[in-house]
Amino acid sequence: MSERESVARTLGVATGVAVFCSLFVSSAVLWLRPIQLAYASIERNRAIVEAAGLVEPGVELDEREIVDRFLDLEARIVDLDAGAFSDPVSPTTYDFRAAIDDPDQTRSIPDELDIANLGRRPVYLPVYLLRDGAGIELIVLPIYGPGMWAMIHGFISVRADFTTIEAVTFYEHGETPGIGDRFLDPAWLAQWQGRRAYDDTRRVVFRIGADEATPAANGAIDAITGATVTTSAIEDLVRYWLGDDGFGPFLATQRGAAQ
Amino acid sequence: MLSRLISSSRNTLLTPLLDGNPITLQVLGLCSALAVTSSLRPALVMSAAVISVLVFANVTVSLLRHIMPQSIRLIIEVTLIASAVIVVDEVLKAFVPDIAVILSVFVGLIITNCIVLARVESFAMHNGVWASLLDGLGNGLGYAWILLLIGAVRELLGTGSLLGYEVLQLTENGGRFEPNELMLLTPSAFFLLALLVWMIRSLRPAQREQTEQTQSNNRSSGVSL
Repeated sequence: MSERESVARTLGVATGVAVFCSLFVSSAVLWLRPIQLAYASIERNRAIVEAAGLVEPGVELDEREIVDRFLDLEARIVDLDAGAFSDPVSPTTYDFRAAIDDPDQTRSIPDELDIANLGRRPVYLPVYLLRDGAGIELIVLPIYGPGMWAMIHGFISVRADFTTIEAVTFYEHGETPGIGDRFLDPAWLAQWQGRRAYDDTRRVVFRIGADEATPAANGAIDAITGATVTTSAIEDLVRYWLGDDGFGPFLATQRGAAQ
Repeated sequence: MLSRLISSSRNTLLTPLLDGNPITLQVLGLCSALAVTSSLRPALVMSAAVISVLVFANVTVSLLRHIMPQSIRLIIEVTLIASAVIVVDEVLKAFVPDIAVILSVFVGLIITNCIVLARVESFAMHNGVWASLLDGLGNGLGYAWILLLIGAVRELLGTGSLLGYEVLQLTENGGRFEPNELMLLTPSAFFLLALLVWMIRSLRPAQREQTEQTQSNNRSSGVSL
């Protein structure tokens, strides 16, 4: 064996420890990932059910109740480029979270429309309909976009007028604990209820934080002091997904059909 | 010989519980002790996490102590600690995801918890694997009982419950207990910890720190005698 303080020994021990630690960490992650993903899909369904207003505020549902209520909703796939429902894709097998990261299932977003800095988006996304007899009472749409550190994922529900926001929920984010993550405060999220997303010409008027163009009296949601990056990221991603490159054309078509 | 071995093992395990407690005597690891003790369940999970990391770090560093070059000693220790913390964090996210959300950054911050590096540097580098394992376990338990005690008091007085089960019936449910919401805020952990340290040091005067004031008092009283 070489000297304890020799270069060879130093390199050898460093390499050995590095290899051991990487194997240890990566095998643990490989083993645990499926369990974490199962939980993540329950959390996603919980967010959908909450956005659809099927949970009374403050009530904790167990997994079974979430699945039961999730099944009360009708899942459909929307072709964003066509702005219409797309039936060839099955909503039960289509994994939109996998599609987001798949270059073959996404297309690039023109720079001038990419206000949320997404780069690419899928062609197909699922929506969840709360039926009221034959008509639609609420429609739940997936939304996501880059936050301060990681993607923020959530759902927004829109009323039958396809104009008014009913609720918003978020189920995945990497915002700074105690600072950016204050956007999850129920009192802040409650402000979204009843806000108009579009004006009469179907322009997106949704805003967070008042400015000269849209004073708070016109219905902007309060920004959160200290969480500026997070709240403006949420504003951008909501404006993108409600806009012309997101669900805007689809919602306009639905509104026309309903009237 | 055997009895001496057993008694030294017992000392390694038991001393950190009270006489060498990492929180109340060494005043280390306070950040997490204050942050995760608003109720008992996160305190319980955090304790288990710290115990696992301490034992893993102490055992691995003790195994490597003869071959570890001094020049890269610290970075190897921190690498081992960090790996253990990542694995613990992933385990929590898989099996107790709701608690993992409450603990948020504090699991990751175990990497920088002074207790872990202190035990590795001051004990595991100089002692055998078995003694290091017991030392890690003992210090982990010493950290744990303080966390659990503060967590239990805060949850009981702040919500009237323990582990979510109602123990003291609240006035709003027809009982006679009015919860003190201050207990759910971080400052209450400071008060409770201070009371605990005061109690322990009153019972164990040897733990009292010698300040200049007390030293000069001792000196002057010595002269007068």
